[in-house]
Amino acid sequence: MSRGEVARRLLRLLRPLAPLMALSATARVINQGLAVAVPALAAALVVAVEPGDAVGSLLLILAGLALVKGSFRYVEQFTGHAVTFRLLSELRIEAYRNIVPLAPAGLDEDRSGDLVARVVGDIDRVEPFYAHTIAPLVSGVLVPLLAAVGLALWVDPLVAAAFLPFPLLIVVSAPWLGAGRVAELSARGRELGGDTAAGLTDVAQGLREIAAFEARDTVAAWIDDLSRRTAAARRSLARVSATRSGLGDLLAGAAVVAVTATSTYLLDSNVIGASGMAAAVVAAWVGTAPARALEGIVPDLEQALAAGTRLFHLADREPPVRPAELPVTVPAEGTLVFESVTVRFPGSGSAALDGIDLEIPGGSYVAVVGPSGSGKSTLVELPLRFRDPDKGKVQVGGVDVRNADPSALSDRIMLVPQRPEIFFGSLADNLLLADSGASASDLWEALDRAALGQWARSLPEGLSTPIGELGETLSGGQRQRLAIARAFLREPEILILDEATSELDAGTERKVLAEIARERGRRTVVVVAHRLDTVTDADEILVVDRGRLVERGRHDDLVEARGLYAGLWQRHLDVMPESA
Amino acid sequence: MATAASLPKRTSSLYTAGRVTLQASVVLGWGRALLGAGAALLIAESVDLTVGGGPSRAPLLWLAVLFAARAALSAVSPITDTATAVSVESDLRIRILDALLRIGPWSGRRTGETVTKATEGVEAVGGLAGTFLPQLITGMTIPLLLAVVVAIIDWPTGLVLLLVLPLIPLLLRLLERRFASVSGRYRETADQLAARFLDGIQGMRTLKTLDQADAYGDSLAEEAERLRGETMALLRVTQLALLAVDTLFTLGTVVAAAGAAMWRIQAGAISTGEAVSLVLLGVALIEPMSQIGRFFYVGAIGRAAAAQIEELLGQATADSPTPSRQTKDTPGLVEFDGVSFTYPGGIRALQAVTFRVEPGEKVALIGPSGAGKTTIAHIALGLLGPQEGAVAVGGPAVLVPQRPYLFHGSVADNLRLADPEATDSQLWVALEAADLAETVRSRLGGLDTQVGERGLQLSGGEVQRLAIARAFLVAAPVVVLDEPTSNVDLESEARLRSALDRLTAGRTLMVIAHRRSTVAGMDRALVLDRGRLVEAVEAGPS
Repeated sequence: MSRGEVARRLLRLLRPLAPLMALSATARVINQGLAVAVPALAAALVVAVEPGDAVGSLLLILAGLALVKGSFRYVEQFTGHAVTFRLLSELRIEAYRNIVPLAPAGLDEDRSGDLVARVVGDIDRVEPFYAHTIAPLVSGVLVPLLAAVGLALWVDPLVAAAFLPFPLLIVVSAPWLGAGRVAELSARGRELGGDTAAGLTDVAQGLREIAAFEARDTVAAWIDDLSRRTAAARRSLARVSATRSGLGDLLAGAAVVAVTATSTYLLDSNVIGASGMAAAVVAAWVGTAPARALEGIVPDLEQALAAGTRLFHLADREPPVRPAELPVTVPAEGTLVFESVTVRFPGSGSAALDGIDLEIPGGSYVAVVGPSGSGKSTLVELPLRFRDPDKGKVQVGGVDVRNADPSALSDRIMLVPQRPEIFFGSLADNLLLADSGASASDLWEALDRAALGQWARSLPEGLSTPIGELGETLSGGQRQRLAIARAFLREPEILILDEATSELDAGTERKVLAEIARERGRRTVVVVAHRLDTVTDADEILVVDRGRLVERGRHDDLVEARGLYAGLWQRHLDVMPESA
Repeated sequence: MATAASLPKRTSSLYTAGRVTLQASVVLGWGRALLGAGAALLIAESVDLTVGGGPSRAPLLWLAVLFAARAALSAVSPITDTATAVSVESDLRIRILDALLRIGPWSGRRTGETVTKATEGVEAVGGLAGTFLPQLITGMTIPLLLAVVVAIIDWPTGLVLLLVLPLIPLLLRLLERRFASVSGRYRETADQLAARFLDGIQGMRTLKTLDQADAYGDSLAEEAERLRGETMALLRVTQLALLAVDTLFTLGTVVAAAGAAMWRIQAGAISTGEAVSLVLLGVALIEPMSQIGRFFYVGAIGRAAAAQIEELLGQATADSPTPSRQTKDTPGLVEFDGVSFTYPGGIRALQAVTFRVEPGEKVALIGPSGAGKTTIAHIALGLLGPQEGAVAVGGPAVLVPQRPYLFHGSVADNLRLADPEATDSQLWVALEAADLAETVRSRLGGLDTQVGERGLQLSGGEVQRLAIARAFLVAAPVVVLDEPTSNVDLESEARLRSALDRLTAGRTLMVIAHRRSTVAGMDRALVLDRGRLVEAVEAGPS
């Protein structure tokens, strides 16, 4: 995407706000125009007063103009805030809607949660595109022009001609001086700055190792090295902005010299009066300021363009699954079929799932076990169509998920992940996500079944307690149980638990899983097991290793078989429960 | 022993490292103001000469010279400002590192959030020192300087300005306060929306699973609209302060100067040119102050960050535990004699624990979580000092943690943490012994490959073995191992076990054991419960 194209798309994003922006920019121009006019008028009046003149009314006029100037400042700031606020919320909602079709599999390629942080940061960097670049550009050019018009009308066109070239020269030269280098250096400076902050956080997390190996000096040298590199980039940047600010200041001074020389000449030739000269000199002194405000514009502009490029790339990304052309509804039955399913992640050598053939009858209780990284989660996410297999097909209730209506699919299947998300809002809000029509007693029943009822009753405001704000104070176990309560409310035909009880203590885990096992027969239950002893009574245990289904059967038979499952079982018995 | 607590809480300010360049920035600001004032005086002379008779070139030439000099000073300021920022930042980073090492996460203090905020806040403090402070100091002092210049032209006007001057810091305070309250409320609202937005993106998986993604988007838009309405209603009133301040700025400088000039010119006390220069000096008063206004946000963010960093540094100097242990001549001996330890906050971790581990002996520490196993390990490693009793360890002890931390850096960087002097071939020997050489050579492509949080990802088993390789690089007769419980696959687990066996062969081993089979392989097991040693079991080779 070219920079011009990015700028055009950014401007298009701003278009709905154009009237408000125009208002804000106009107020800014008037405020800054009066910042030139008031001192110029004051100087003219000061020179023009004769002994005995009543100066009170003149001062009152100046004071009145000061008040008008202040009012336009108010309008500018107020509308500016309005623009910023609207822009932020619109950019966010736009980004949110762009991400919906990509999630979750389409976002996996971005390492860890990087993408989310990036989107948030990029929006914050696009936002000043208006406040820090467009508005200053407008007033940086317009205010000196208006000042020149004023000088031409009320003093002399020659004075205006002496003044105008300098602010225009400032606008076209100073901000863009070494622009390419500035863009590159500020990008590098930001990157290094981020690295340095991350490096220090890194050190804080590895503190025990540093102390244990008495490696303070080694680590201090790492940090110093990062600091030095950051400092070098920023010093180069400072040299450029030093040149810019020197040049800007020089041109501003030159404007005053030129206007003083011209008006001295005109005064001497009796073309203008002393008050005209006074006004001209003062106007030249203050009239270049709006142009000089543009000196620092390039880094902001570059940041906005770079952030915009990334946001637009995200918006243009292909979703990982194509919506069905003629969506088919999914019958309310719990059969799950995998037909020679193969999944390969981009950039990874071996297949995550390799030719899985499997049929899970409706109402059965099935466990999936295997070493970490063996493909268990990938397998159980396929029915929900987080991604499509590269080969083979997945059927839910006899329908190929690629043809299924997504909303019908999510009615049939509920997946409880290992790290469920809690949202800003009350406990009830968080539960109602699963079934918006549930009554209070439904909610309590679900909480009780998920062994969370006692905790919920202890909350100060019960179901209305805002838990989103508790954020980190909610333990992993509480989050997991809340997600399971959601599952009880949802009543899907197929319930999938992906290590969904890993953070519960053994007693609670057993209680919750017993509640889930009671669903056996009524709905299909698939449990990706965290601890083997919790699933020994499953109808069938599927053992997955390196993307293949290597063993299947009941617990006793698998232990007997002395295969992979038997090894895992042996290790399970070895771990001492009290230190888990 | 002179405790750290007796030291003054703040030994030096956060900005010490940038003091000289900060002063230089302020002096440059004064210089610019004085040159500007000089220019105003020259313009006065030029006007008077022209009004009085023919124009003169001399003031114009000098005017050009003064402006050129001012531009030269302007071209130095960004350099001194940046120099201040980077020196303050570099210095703070090292001071934070030292503070962290003094506090130590093992001291039982919860510092996670403080640490994160402090490390992320370093640049904000740099901005405060490099951008905001010089502006603030010059902005507050320049009016005084200019009032003196005015007094030279006409002392009664100078007096008037001096009387008006105290108004300026007052106005600035008002502006800052308003800024703080408005931007505080505004930020709060914006943060709340940002949090909900983040919530939605991070929880997209759940939302999609529940078919709620679009509904959440709608509620997000609705909420944004509602909050926006509220905030704008609030701003409509509070921003009136800006109107007042902007108006008063103009009144207090330009209009006041014009009033004084009219009064004096009517009295015949000053010339036309001098009257013009008074207006110019009034204008010159505004500039440094509006600069301060422009950088208020830098100041506000910097101050918040500075407070967090001061808290962290202050914590370190207030009470830093001083690990103490004596190293005995018998290599490999570990002896605890009546050792007690209480964490800050009063949690008793160990009570009068006494045991002796002979050189080469292998001992398991077992007991429920919170029993004191980790505290014993940390004391044996010298990370913590006993508060009562005596500890003797024969020679350095090396740690193999349960979840080893991998620093962002190369494989070699991570290994050389243990021995900065180690040669490449020594690193390979250690990797070989830890059964990781092949992985580093083929999968990672050598010692210089970046690993860690933002580098190449290693599996749980590989990280464990890297920690073992690290331990091989230290000639330590005592190994302290916090046994990993992570669910690695069976093959990795077998490789890990044999690497550990090689590491501990011939050394004293203290292991925080989580497995029955580990305990069975030890000479002895020390059973802990609530900080007490409840029994020592002869496990015996099975």
